[in-house]
Amino acid sequence: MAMRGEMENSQLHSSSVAYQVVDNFLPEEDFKPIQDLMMGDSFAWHYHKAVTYVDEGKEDKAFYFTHLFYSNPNITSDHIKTLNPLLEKLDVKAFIRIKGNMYPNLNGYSPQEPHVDYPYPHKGAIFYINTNDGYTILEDGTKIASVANRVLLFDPSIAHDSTYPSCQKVRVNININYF
Amino acid sequence: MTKVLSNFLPTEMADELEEVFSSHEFPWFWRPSTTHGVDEGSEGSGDYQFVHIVYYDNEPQSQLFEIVRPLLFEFEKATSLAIKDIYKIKANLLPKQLLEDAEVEESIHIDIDKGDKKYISIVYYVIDSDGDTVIYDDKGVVKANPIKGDAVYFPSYIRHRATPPVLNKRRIVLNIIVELEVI
Repeated sequence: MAMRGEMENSQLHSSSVAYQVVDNFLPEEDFKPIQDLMMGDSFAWHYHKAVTYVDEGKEDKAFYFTHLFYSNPNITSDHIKTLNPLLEKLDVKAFIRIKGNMYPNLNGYSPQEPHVDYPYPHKGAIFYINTNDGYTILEDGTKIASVANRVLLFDPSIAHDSTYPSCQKVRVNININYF
Repeated sequence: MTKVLSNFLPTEMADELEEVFSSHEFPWFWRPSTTHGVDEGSEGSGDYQFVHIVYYDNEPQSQLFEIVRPLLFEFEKATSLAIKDIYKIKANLLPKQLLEDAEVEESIHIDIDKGDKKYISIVYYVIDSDGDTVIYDDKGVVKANPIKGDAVYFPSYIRHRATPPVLNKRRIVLNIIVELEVI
């Protein structure tokens, strides 16, 4: 998975699932405005139910909040300008969707809901906004910790999962799907 | 001093408020603390909420003001109180969370301290939920249940707190502070 610019602290993993983790992905002066925006009090979040499956029934104990920056072919948030340093550093031919996620602390409850973002091969980047004890789980069980200014590059058409934080109030990241 | 109003809105008005504030399209703004500023950070597990300011600083801050405004007329009809001015209208979404005892203590607050009794706080319950409003009234502790269409009101200088829901996923209220006509 190629990226523009130099990659520091990056690791290319190729077990059963290929992925790459890059720490300190953005210079601090580019990361801070994004973090300040999304952790700030002027950034709109939208409530969504997260349906989990308990035995054979559905139980909607969980929920999370989203902010849609882009949904092909439309820019859906003026705040996308703040993400420019991040988006320019990815090797993008076309964006599919750019979405912010905020997972609240549910008193330790974290639904298990493996999913694919889109059912066709494409690229994905999860950019972590705050450090917390929630993580991303890849298909082979690999856990990627949520560390501020870290990016995970992978193919989101392969099943993966997210967990909620238990020691922090929220877990915030940006999910970018692209070609 | 503290009074609970049951089912004082016309059904269609209560339904509209629930539909709007429960919608996936509705924008909420995160506050890391229910009573402190945004510098509080994201550490810790509880005492945070989402808000939407509807009216503040003598003007509407949201297009939703027109949807909320009729509630005030119904409040006046139900209580025979006359509202002189609106100080603030804010929607609060409190997610399911458990608070430590210290966090409960910290969440006790007053809405406004103007040194007189002309300001009242109205908490209107937008959806059915759990998580009482606890009001430390001069005559004792009053607990109001979040039942859609109900409201509780009390002088704004009285100490009170919201309780996060533990059974339901969210608790949505309108927190309204108004100045009353002095009779």
